[in-house]
Formats: sequence, structure tokens, C-alpha cells
Amino acid sequence: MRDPLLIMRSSGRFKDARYLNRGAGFAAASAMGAVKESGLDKETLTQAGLFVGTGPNLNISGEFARIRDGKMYETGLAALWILKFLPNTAASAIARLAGIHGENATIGTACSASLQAVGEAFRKIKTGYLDLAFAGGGDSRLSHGGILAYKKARALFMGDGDPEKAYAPFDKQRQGFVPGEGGAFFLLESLEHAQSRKAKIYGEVCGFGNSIDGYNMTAPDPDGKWGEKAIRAALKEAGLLPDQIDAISAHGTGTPLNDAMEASLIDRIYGEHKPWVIAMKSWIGHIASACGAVELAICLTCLKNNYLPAIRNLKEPCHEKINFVQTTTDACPGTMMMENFGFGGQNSALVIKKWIK
Amino acid sequence: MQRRVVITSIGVVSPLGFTPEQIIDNLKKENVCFERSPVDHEVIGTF
Repeated sequence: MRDPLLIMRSSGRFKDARYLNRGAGFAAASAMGAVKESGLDKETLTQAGLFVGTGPNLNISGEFARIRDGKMYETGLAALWILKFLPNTAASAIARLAGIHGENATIGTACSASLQAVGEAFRKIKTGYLDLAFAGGGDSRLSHGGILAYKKARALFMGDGDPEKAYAPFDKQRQGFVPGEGGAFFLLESLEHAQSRKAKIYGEVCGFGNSIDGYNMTAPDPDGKWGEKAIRAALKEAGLLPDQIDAISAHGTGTPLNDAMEASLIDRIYGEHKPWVIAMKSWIGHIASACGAVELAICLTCLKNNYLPAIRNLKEPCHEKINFVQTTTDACPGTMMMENFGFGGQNSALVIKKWIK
Repeated sequence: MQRRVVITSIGVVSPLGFTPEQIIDNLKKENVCFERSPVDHEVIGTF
């Protein structure tokens, strides 16, 4: 397993890396990858926006002062240990490293956070508040605290057998999610700005939708009606009808509740159109607040390469009317709906299009 | 003002790779990295 802080150090010295938790490290490492690839000069970077999806640092063992008999024991506690727990530490580090000074936001909407970060950046550029912005996120739930938290919430896969066969989104026998880690960032620009500097274009963002269930603190609304609101809002902003979506990158956590809700939702919105449905968590694990960003990076790659990967370990689909991709195909989707849903009833949807010169 | 918005740069640190080229290559080769966690034997995704 690679240490994101080592990745950052390999590209230059950053003494404050010690203040980043592991998720923030993935955010900073991937953001600096996007900055480097952009080739933007220092003056242009000062004008860029920054939108970061982030989650809690659950690697909490040994970080806190011990309180006993009314006295606080803080031996060994670093002076700025607080930075490992502030949600905006990743944004602060990225801004310092890249010289970004534009409008920004740190978004903490659980597993929909990084897709929402991209959506918020899209809106700022579309409406003219910004010409360009970096957006994405990084996260890790592979600490003892992270695993314990999801185990207690009964969301984790807890079975035995071959680890590569554990994660089975949308399968009738699915048993929960497998946690992962990573990060992804993107430079979003107005088309005019991108073309004026002859930038390479990976894809177009066409619409974004967001909503909150107000139903349960963890479980999704089983009817998915507020998730549907987010998806329909993204379609409306993109100026597309459901039958103009070629493929869906489902949230597909592999939990009984999410997948039942999401499959029903997809059937209700798209009906007989039956777009292809993929579930990238079966390939990379569930990267929590960063799942949307990492899945977006993979889906942009798939659009460019006319490639839709099969949902791994899907043997018996939980919904017979959905066109789940069970065999990898060299299909040529032009439009894709990205879906992410998070604890607390957070819903985000983003419409992307393949870029054709 | 309504403008079109495009993505012009990707930075990624993922179980499938660090670049779009690595990602598509690992997808096609079906290279995934799931392993058993040392904590109570849960399964985790790694790279």
C-alpha cells in the first residue's frame, strides 16, 4: 500500500505534510497531479477556484489527550494536531502548494461530497463567477477507527472467502461494502478559457443536481424520491431527457438498502430506455467522500476509450429490468450520469459527455 | 451568463492507477487489489 504523503514528497518538499490525515494526503497528492498536468502559470493559478469534498478523519487511536481524575495528560501530542481533524486542512494544503487563491468551499456531505464539489465548481464556472477551478477529493477508511465505524453501522462486508469476490453491488447475495482509499482532482474550465489556451479536453460537464432526504440519519429513503429529485435536476440542467443518457455510473455500495433503492430509482426514471449501468466500487472499493471523484476519473477514461467495465461479482441481479453491465463491453456511450448517495440522505448527480473535437 | 464547462486535467491516486492510461490498462487486465484486513479479518480495497 502506498503512502500519499510519500507520493507528495516525491514531487517536492512539503514540510506541512505531517499535518495531513491520510484522506487529506490523497486529496493533496491528486490535486497536485491535476495542477501539474494543467500546465497553468502562477498568475492563472491565483485566479482558480478550489472545491474539496472531504470526510472525517477516523484514524483516532492515540491522537487525543487522556483525561483522568479531572487532569488532562497531553504528553506526545503535536502542537498542531488539530489540523488532522479540521475539514479544510486539505484545501489549505492544496492552496499553499499550488498558489490557488480563488473562491472555494470544503464540502462534507459524506459519500456524495466529492461529486458535489465538482458540481459546485461546474456551477461557479457556468454562471461566470469563475473561469476555472480545481475540484475533487481524497479519503481513506482503512484505519482501525474507520473500519470499526462502518462495522458498527452494519454497512461493511463481513463474510469469509476470496477477498476479490467480496464486493458484489446489485447482486441478490450482496453483503455490504468493502472500504478503500484514494483521491482524484480535476481542472474545470469554461470552454472559451480552455480553447484559448489550447488545453486538452477530457470531457464536458453538462448538469448537476443535489438534494437531501431528510428521512434517516444513515439509511436512504427507500422510495429514492429525493435521489430522483437530484437526478432529474441534473438532467434538466443538461437539457437532456432520460432516454438521452447512454450509461449510468451507479453509487452501487453493495449494501442491501442502497442497491434496492438505487435499482428501483433507475427503473423508475429510465424505464424501457434501459441505459447501461456500471458500478465502479466493485473494482476499487468504497472510497467514502472521495468515491465520486475517483469514479469520475475512471468514467472519463472509459468514455474516451469506448469501454464499459462489467460489475464485478454480479451473478444474480437484484432487479430484472436494469441493464447492468455483466460482461465488459466496448460500447460507445456519449453521455453518462454519475450518481452518489451519502449517509445523512445526501444525494448528488452529475451529467458528463464525451468530448468530440 | 451560461457557459459550457469542460474538464481539462485529471490528477488521480486510485487502486486502478495514477493516470488515465494506467486505469484503462488495469481495467482491461482486470487487475484489482482486494485483500483481507488485519482488523477482524474484514476485506479492504488496497493498492
